[in-house]
Formats: sequence, C-alpha cells, structure tokens
Amino acid sequence: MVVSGTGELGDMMMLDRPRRWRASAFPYMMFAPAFILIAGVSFVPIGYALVQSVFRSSTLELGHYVGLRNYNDFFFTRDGIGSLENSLIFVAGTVALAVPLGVALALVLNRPIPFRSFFRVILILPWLVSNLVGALLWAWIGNPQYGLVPYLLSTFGIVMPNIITDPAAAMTSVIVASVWASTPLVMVFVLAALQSIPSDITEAARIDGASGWRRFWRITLPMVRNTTMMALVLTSLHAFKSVEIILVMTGGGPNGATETMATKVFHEAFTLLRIGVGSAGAVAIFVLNLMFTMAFVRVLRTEHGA
Amino acid sequence: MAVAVSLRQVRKLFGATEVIHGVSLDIAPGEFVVLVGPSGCGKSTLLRMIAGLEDVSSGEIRIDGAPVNNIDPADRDIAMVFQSYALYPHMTVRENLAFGLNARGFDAATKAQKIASTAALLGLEALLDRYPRNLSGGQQQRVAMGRAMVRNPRVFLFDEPLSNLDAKLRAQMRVEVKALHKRLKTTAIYVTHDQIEAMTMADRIVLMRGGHIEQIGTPLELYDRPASTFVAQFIGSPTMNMLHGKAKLNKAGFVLETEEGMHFPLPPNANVQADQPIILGLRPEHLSMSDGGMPYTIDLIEPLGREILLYGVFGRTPICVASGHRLAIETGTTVGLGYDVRNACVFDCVSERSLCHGR
Repeated sequence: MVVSGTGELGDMMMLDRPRRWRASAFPYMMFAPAFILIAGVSFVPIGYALVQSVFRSSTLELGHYVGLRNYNDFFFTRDGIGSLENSLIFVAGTVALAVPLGVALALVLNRPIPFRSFFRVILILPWLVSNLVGALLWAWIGNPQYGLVPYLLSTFGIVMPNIITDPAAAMTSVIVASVWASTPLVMVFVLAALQSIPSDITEAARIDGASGWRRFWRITLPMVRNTTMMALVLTSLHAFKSVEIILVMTGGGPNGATETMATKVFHEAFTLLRIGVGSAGAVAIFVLNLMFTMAFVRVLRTEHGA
Repeated sequence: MAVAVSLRQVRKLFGATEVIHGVSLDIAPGEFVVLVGPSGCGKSTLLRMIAGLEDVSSGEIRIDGAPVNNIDPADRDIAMVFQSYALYPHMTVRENLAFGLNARGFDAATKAQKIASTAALLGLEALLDRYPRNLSGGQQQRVAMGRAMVRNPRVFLFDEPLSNLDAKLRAQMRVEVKALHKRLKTTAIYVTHDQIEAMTMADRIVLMRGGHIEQIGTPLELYDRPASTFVAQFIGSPTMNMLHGKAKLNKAGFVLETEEGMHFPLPPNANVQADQPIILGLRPEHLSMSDGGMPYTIDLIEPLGREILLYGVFGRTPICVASGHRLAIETGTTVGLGYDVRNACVFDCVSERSLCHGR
C-alpha cells in the first residue's frame, strides 16, 4: 500500500509539524536564559583567555600572534615548573588533610551527641567566610611577631618557624588555612551521604555480628565512598585554582616558595602585566583540572558498571 | 515445655510514652509465631526488642533460657529479615551471604560450603556474583532470607518481609517461607499487618493492639473463638458481621433484640443476663438462605468465582453473606436468612470481650 502525503493522515502530519517543533524547542527555550548567562560569564572569558594565550598582549587589547611562546614563557621563565610543583604540594597537602578531617567530623556529627546542631553550624562557618577573610585571620594567627600560635607555642618553650621567612613554614601555613577553608565542604557532603544510609543496613550488619569497627570499614565507608571521592575532586579543583589565601598570607614568598600556578597567573597578568603569559597559565590550569575531572568521572563510571 | 524465646512483663517507653505495656509470651523451639496487628500496635517494636535493636525499658527477654536484655544483637545468635531487605548494596550476593560468616570467623572452606548449600536451597546459584541492584524484588527477598539462614541461627526474626512484593509473588513466597521453616525447624517470629499471612503461616498467632496482646492462639482458635470484637473483626475477610442489641429471655432461651425489635437466637452457652447490652457476631459464611429466616434485602452482589458475596441489611445493620453456591439471585431481592447458633459469637457491648464461643 502506498501512503501519500495528501490524504487525511498526511494533512494531520503537516499540521502537527509546527506544534511538534514547538514542543521540542520548549525545553531549550526554558534553559536559554541560564545558558546565555553562564556562557557570558564563563565560556566567553575562557574563549577569550584561550585567544589571548597565543598573543603577546600587555593589556586587554590583543597584540601580535606568538603561537605557543606564552606557554613556554609561563612554564620555563621565572620558575614556572617550581609553581607547578608548589601547586601539587599545596593541593596534595590540602586534600590529604581536609578529606580525612571532613570525614571524621561528619562521622562525629552523625552521632547523637549533645549540641549537635550547634556544632554543625560552627563547623560549617569557615566555608561561609570569604577566603580573603579566612586568609587574613590565619595570617594574624600565625604572625611571627604577634600571632596566637607562635605565642602559645612559646609558652611551652617551642619556637615556631617564621611563616614569612621560612619556606617550609610558609607552605605549611597556607596549607593549614586552605584545609580550614575546605574541610566544611567535605564534611557537609559526607554527612549528607551518611544520613542517606538506611538504618536497616547498619542494623542488619549489627545482627550479622559485625563490630563497630567492622561496620565502619565494610558498610559505612564503602557507602559514602563515591560522595567522599566527589568531595575530594571538588576540593582538589578548588585548591588548584585558589589564589586569595596564598596572596594574602605569603604573597607567593618567601622567594617563590609558595608561588603556585594560580598565584603565578595573577602575578604574570596583574603585576607584570604579561596578560598573554597569564592567560596561558590560566588555560593550563583549566586543561589540567579538566583532565583530572574526566579521569575521575571515568573511574566512577567504571565502578558503577561493575 | 521447653522455651526458645520467653518474654516476661516486657515494657517499652519512648520518652514518657509507653508503647509496649507489660507483654509476656513463651515461644516453643521450632515454633512459627506471627505477631499481627494494625499499624502502631507495637509488633515491630517488640520484634526489634527481641533482636536487641531496641532497649527493654523493663521486664526480661530470654533466648534459650538465658537473659539477653543486655546482650548485643551480634551475640544473641539471631537473624533478621527486614521489610526493605537491607542488603548491602556494594556487595555481591555471595559477599552479602558471607558477611555474617566473616564476622563470626568461619574458615574459607566452611564459608564456601555454607554459602553453596544456602544458595542451592533458595535457588540463588546463578545470582551469586550479581549486585542487589541487578536483582528483582523477589530475588532480593530470597537473598535476604539466605543471609539470615546461612548462619543457622537459633531464632529467625521477620519484619514484614513480604510487604514490598506484589500480590502474586507474596502468595508464592508465603508458601516458600513456610516450607523452608518446615524443613529447617528453626524458631521463627514473624511480624505482619496482613491477617492472611498470619492465618496461613502461623503455628500460633499473637494479635496485638495498642501495645497489649489481645489474644494468643492457633489461627483457627482466633477465627472461631475470638476473645474480643477487635480480634473477631481483625481476623477473617470479609469481616465478621456485628449486630448490636440487648439480651432478652424468651421461651427458647436467650435472644438478641435489636433496636428495630428483631430477634436473633443466641448460643445456649452464652453467658448473658437479661437486658445486658451485647453484640452478636456472625461470620459471613455462617449465614445462609432459609425459608423461615430473617428478611434480608440484597443491595449488592459480588461474584468472586469460588464464592459469592452478598451485601445487604438486617434492619439498619449492614450484613455480608458469603455463599459457596452460585445463587441465581438479583439485587433488590428480599430473602430469608438463617444461621446455626453454634457458630455464633457473643460479646459484651461495654468490655467488647467474648461472652461465649461458637463450636
């Protein structure tokens, strides 16, 4: 049988076409405003940075095309590789302390302890405070002349290394401040995951004869593992591009000891006004973060497929 | 009598609210006891107290003669099947079954043997390497049963394990659970709100209401000799017909006189006094058409295949009749309805307790 487009059915189909188009376009129309806004404030700057990174420009105007010279300059002049190393130390230090601490706090706050709500609010405060304010606070606490920590340590006869002049002390102090600012996010994520574990499952494990420790290792931890990994990735990404804490506390010093890729981008672009080199660094951070995120997503997907 | 589980004056308070009011119960070894009752009657709380998941506010629970009030659930040698199945989602079926064995330090060979025999018993062999999320509801239920059975515990506790299954699978699993119990002969305490599950599975039913035990007995004892109107109406579907009135003595003995002046004969063993407000309970299947019976106008007919349900009224009291015969009858028809007084139940109107039993 041959069906022509001129019969009753064909007419209906033709009438339906605009309506169907409207129906399929509707969801796109709904998220268009959000999409345009996000594109305007993030995709356009990223695109512009990408363009700038291959031009030699000292202001927001583009200069002449230089290919990958800016990337070369970012990594191989003014200790660029050192900044990459510092970034890795800073991120690793932050993650290595903030994640276990966040998980531990979440576990404590998930128990029926007195004043639980009060502690939850207090412990989430560092996350709500601006990084700038947090950095100022830590700079004051660790200040060699009038800081709280050097003073308290001195009462026990311990001389704290100077966080402004000692490279290791400087890196330690910025990591501590970063941990302080990052831990609440991990804590909130893990606490939410802990609260979503059905009580039946932990009760079944109790009846199955598992001790508290065994329940933690074999039931609780595996069930919050994905969320913890997610928090770990977010903390890493955030630490990798973090600028304020280091700029305020050490300014990248002493002698570049705390200069990370992110602070180097700031210095190149806004202190030395080498906008092209700064953009190249920013693009490099973006690409490294993107690769890290994709690797994580792949790991998660493989596990879910198991 | 040997006792596997014994409860003595067990009470439970949540804050100032008492939810279990001094319950005492003895369960024999190998017995299948069903705790049944409406939502909030305390049946699940009582089960959780036996499991050790809830503290006992006062009273004593013993398992195999030993008090367990202060014993951790892990050390009570019990197993529990939860309504949600509570399978460990990140472990395969094999790992789920092995979890309890690992915690108790069985060697690898014993573990493998126990898992294999349990899997064979429940038909889980092909599912051992799957994760719970890849199993159907019925399969998950089976794994939950397997996890309880693999340890060979002293007591099985079931907390509404079939509630999440569809009606057909529920009926099938009911038979399977009962068959497994017959085979394993492990003491089992089973909580449900479904009176059909209670009737079909229990050796003895414990019917609870508001934190008290309303009646303990075999399914047929509760059906035929309900201790109260609550039991009479909870057990059996369609529910027992209840006629309210006063006891009157006439030539043939005591009768129930309704407000409309209708007279219904009472069983000869009914312990009633003249003018006492009483309730006459008649099961739908104990009512039948009879020429000299009470006039009964049929409002609705439900043909169920195996039986026919008729809905109508005696005076103003709604009455349901179940007939095994395929009656050629239409709605709006008035027929005579009779009953055998030996099957009737009589309850006191105030206390709602039984004043006699049929049979």
